[in-house]
Amino acid sequence: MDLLEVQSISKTYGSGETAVRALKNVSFSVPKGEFVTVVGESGSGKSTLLNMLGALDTPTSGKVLIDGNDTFAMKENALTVFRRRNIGFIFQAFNLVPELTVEQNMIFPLLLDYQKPNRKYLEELLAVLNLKERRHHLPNQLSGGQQQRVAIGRALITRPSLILADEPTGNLDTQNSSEVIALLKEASRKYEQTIIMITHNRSIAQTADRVLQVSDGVLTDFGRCRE
Amino acid sequence: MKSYLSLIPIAARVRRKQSKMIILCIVLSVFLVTTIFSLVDSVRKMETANAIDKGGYWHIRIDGIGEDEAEEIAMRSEVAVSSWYDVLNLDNNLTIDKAYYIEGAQTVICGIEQAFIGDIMHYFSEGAHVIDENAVILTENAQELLGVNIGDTITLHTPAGDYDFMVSGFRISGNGKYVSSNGGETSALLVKEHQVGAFMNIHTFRRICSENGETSAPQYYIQLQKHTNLKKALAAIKKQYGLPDENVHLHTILMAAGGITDKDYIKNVYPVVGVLFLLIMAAGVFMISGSMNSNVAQRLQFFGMLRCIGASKSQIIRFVRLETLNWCKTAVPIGSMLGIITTWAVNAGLKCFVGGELSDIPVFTVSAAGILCGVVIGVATVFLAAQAPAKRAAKVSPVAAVTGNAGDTKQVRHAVNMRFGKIETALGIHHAVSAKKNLLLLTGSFALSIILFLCFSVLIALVDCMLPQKASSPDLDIASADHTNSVDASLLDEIKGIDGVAHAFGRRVCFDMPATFQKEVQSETIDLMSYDDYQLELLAKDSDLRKGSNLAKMYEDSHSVLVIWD
Repeated sequence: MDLLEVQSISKTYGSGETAVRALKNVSFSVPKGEFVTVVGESGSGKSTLLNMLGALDTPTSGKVLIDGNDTFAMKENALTVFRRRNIGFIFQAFNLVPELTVEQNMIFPLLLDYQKPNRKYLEELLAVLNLKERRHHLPNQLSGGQQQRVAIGRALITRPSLILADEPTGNLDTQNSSEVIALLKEASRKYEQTIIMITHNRSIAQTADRVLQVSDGVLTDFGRCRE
Repeated sequence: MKSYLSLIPIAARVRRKQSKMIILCIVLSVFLVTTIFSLVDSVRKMETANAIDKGGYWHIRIDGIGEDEAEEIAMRSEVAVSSWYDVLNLDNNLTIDKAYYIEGAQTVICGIEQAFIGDIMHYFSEGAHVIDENAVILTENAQELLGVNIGDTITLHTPAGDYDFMVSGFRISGNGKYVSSNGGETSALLVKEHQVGAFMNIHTFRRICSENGETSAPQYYIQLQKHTNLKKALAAIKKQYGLPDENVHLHTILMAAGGITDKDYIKNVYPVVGVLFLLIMAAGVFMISGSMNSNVAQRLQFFGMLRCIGASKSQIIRFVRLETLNWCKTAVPIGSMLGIITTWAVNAGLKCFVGGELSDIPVFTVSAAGILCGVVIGVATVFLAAQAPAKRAAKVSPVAAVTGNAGDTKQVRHAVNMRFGKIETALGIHHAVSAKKNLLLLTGSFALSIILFLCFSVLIALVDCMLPQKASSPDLDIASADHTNSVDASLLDEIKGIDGVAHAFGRRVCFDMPATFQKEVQSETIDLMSYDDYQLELLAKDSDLRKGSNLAKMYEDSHSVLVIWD
């Protein structure tokens, strides 16, 4: 069974003459541990697709199945808990809590789930993300790349099966972008996590296992970039 | 960091500037309520102390109960102290054969128990007692009238025989405190100059009455325990012994301090204070809610991010509520301290600058009720104010964090009306009225603040009344109707002779007396007014004399007058 199954998702904003069809009957599936990039022009529907996958927004029609669970059939509280434990988010704008240190930002999702952090796993993540020496620093004391690594750590701490990244390299320079992508790929391989990443950058897109293109609400699967 | 809620104090330390307004609102609410309740408490304590000082420390006085009933009442758990009180021959017009005497001075006798001295009434000298059956306490005038002192033996002459007593003490002079008035205390044997009062053991008193064939109307004084529910205790005693209302007398002012009275002004203060409490709470809720709405609006992306990484709506609501309660940790103690210090300052001002009845007000008093009410209003106001902003924060969509577009996306129904001024003015007005909830909160808080200001402005009039008046302002004014000079002149001398009267002065008026003037004036008459010597002295004290006036010419039978200069 594929980890992620998208079945005929459509999303329409507004109605009548001003209706905008952001997604048109999108279907695809992603197996566990695959690194997928989604490319497309501005306004093509990439972010809308990501919002659907993360159950942040509801489709006009269609289904999203994550590990066999129909996310839009769940009640709100159950969906919140499911999202908390199974989906990790990485934003373009980092969205770290400015008052918390690196370590505190990373463990925050666990605290929302009333769990105690696994110290060994946390140390491992800090090492992989090269943040061990910065663990007690505040976000404003970090570079852009370091902040994004903290965001990646926060997304990984709950060991979600699916990670959604919305232009994680959008605010980074080339070197930092490469480092972040490398980390994501390593996480995907090491922890067998499925990563779906939106990017404008075609060269970054090529580094993924598979590329999907959204154009005018229609999804095209370009297939695998490497065997 | 053990919980996601640990973020609250961490963020509060960092975001102090942003939360200044909210903290200020909480401080203000707590300060106002603490001050109001502390002042009421101070006045209550002062009134209680005054009541005890003037009329003794008792709550209920019962007439016409038997000894058995009295004994039962004394055994009740809510009764702290009780005593019999009986008096004979207070009537000034007794015939010689019926009157009692001590060395030629007509004597009023009174039977009391030892508890009456010190516990209930405080007008006895130190060491005075009626423990021994031959002990007697005399009114202070006995020292001059009879030339007796403590330890001397005196003989009470009654129609039935003579009784010997030893003087154990004196009833301290009334100083006008025990004059009978509404709520006053008449047990102090306010004898005339030629009379003497004698307090003795109740058993001795009864024996004397019995042997003289006298009947009296004994009274039973009861002091209730501290912290007793006065209303409940009174009702229970009345019910158990079937006591009619006319036989049960309350120490009005003391009971009023406990909230039981229909007559005293203290009972009216509590509803007023309650209304002020609600007004302050409403104003606080409006102000804090408005500030918090702005606070939440600035952090919509943060709340969206929280929702994205797994926070539920209830967790967001709990977060916002606890965030506001966290501000109480700082604001409530500050507000309470300011309230206490202000209460001290006001009490000191009343004591020093107003004086009189307020000279006994405790200055450095800490009111537990005031502090508790301040804490309650601080917490309750914040809790109520946090509800709407918390729900608003919980409603923030997770998409807000993803897209970075955290603003409210309300549907705009019509464009800005630019007919009334510049575009920035029109836009500002449009924004102000478009958010109905914010408009309500802000205008509501303004309105409540104005109402509170008007409520407190009456204090200015009160202070004006309380401040010492002119030296010539009388406490009591007796005037004839329509200036007919019908008050008898001899009344002045009579009033001067009353115990407790410091000064008495009078004047007469005569209007429209025909007069001719050396200079041209538009009048052919003059109003005459007489001033006695005391009043003339007060003119200078009250600074009522124009510069150059020479009062010395006014005295004796001079032909000099003072003219009222308009």
